[in-house]
Amino acid sequence: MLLQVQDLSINYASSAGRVHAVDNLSLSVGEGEIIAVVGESGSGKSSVGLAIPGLITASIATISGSIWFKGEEISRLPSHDLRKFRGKEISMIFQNARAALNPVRTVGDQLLETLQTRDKDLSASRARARALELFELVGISDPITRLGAYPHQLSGGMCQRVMIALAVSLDPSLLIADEPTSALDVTVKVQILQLLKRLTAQIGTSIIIITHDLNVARALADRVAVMYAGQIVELGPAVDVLKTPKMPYTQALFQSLPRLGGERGEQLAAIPGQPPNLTAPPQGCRFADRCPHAANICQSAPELFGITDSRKARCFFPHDSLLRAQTSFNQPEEPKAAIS
Amino acid sequence: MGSNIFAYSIRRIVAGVPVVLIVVFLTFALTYLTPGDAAVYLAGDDATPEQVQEVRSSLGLDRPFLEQFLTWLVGLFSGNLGNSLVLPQTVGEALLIRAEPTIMLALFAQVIAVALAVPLGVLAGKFYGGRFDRAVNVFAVAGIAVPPFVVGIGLILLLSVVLALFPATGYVRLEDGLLGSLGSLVMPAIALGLAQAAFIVRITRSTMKEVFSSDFILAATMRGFSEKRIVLKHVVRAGIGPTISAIGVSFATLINGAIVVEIVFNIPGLGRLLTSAVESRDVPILQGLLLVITVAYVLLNILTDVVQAAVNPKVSF
Repeated sequence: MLLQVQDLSINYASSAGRVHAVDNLSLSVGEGEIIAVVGESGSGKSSVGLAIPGLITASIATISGSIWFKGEEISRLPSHDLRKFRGKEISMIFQNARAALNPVRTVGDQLLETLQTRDKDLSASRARARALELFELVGISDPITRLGAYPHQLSGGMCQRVMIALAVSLDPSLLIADEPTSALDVTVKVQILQLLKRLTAQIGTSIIIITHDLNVARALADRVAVMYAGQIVELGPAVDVLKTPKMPYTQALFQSLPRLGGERGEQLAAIPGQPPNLTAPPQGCRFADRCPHAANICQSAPELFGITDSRKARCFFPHDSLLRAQTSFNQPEEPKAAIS
Repeated sequence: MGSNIFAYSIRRIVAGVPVVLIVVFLTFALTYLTPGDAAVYLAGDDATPEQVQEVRSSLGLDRPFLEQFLTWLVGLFSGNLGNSLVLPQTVGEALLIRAEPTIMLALFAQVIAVALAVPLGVLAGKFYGGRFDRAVNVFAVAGIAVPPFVVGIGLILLLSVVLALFPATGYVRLEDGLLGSLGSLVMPAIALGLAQAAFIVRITRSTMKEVFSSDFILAATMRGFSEKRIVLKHVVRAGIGPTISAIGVSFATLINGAIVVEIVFNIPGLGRLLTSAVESRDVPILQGLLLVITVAYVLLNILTDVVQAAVNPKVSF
């Protein structure tokens, strides 16, 4: 295993009390594997991404559990030692690439800085050659000119390509991509996803892709972990989870997706209710209040039960049939008059 | 880009000329409208109204307002600022001899202010909300609330009267040695610099706090850079813009502060010249001073914008 996260819990201090953002989360990532962590806002998925390279400090949150990377427990390392892992072993792609680039320095300057500070023996000319190679790798046309551009002179998609070039510049073994395509329009989004997929094949990097978008997970991931209210509620191979979701929350997520070829003005099936308040999470199943299948037993906390060798779901009644979910979630409603 | 900056500066300087003329005209009008004039002052308390009138017409102060202003303006364009009504000097001579202490004081104070405020502001931004930050905040509030003359008097008591380290008042001119000159300015420069620093540190602290919590600093951290590199090459470089503006703006308050501080420390600079010229209604001196101050202010503003453009690639000309 490349990465192993064990019993990770993250509590943020807030004025309303401790927020239990992530609760006893365990997850592993194999060499060259792409795993998607899917969930809505506030499900704790971004906290997991930030906690792995040690970016959540003790001053803002209490963290417990352990994180193992290539057999070393990196969660115990002091920040000075952790620094050596960052960039070289684990790197990160951010949602808003333009905001993640220094606005007063050219993108080439930032890339060269990354290459040269991490490899003192790299000559200026070889660093430049490597930078051009990286820009070509991520599909930036006219790389020589683009090296001298400032972030505000580049489009959003171009900034994301630069970000990816920066992230893979030191050949990391693991890439954490937090909503890498959310800020981009659809055509650029597809290009970026294809790029990420090509990169894993080419340089063998593993990817944890954090997203709220099931289609991104479908397009990219080998495995999917669905998060809800700080817990993984379903885990398994992407094809299986996305085709036959077992946990009612995952099913509900699918129901709330707009369908291609659906009626104009058709109501999307929103999940009723709100996610639980994480300052005082429910004792039992965290989805029970919103679940159409909830029974008395759901008042006690379900584990992440194994369903098959590779699949797990945090549910006492892992449902097979999407049809059944459909009847309960898709309460037929008269289509409202088209708005536009 | 270099020639761009040059053309831009020229354009800004040309645009500054009307500003200077308007300010000069307004001050001329104000001194004309306020009751009393230099004739009253020069003729003395015992003078009869006839004697005052005589002095007045000999100085040309009884001529119409516009005529007086135009005469002055014509003189200005031929490089002649006129004669002081009170001092035995031309305005140009008086300004020149008084400018040195003030420029030295202003630069010294500003160096102290920047050297103090920028590092404190950056660190306060880094440890925002922490104990260090709160201490800096107390300093910033105190520095703005306590006027420089109070600090000045405190420094005189401590460093001159009790410790006898520096002379309490007076100024050593540059031609008598740089060190002596700086030594005579240590206390006034600290008194003035602390107030300047308090203003600059507040701006620096809040922008640096924003930069420290920005995505690109998180991204830089994620690239494994050292703390030092992140602070110097990323945070400070990205967040220095507002600090540069603050330094520029603070030069304007420096002029106000210098007037008071020069009185406390008995420094024969432009500030002292200004107060005495107001007392004696020495209009040509006042006009000359206001002209110099306005021109300095306009030039500093242009300089600030040019430096700003040099550090921020988003600013174009």
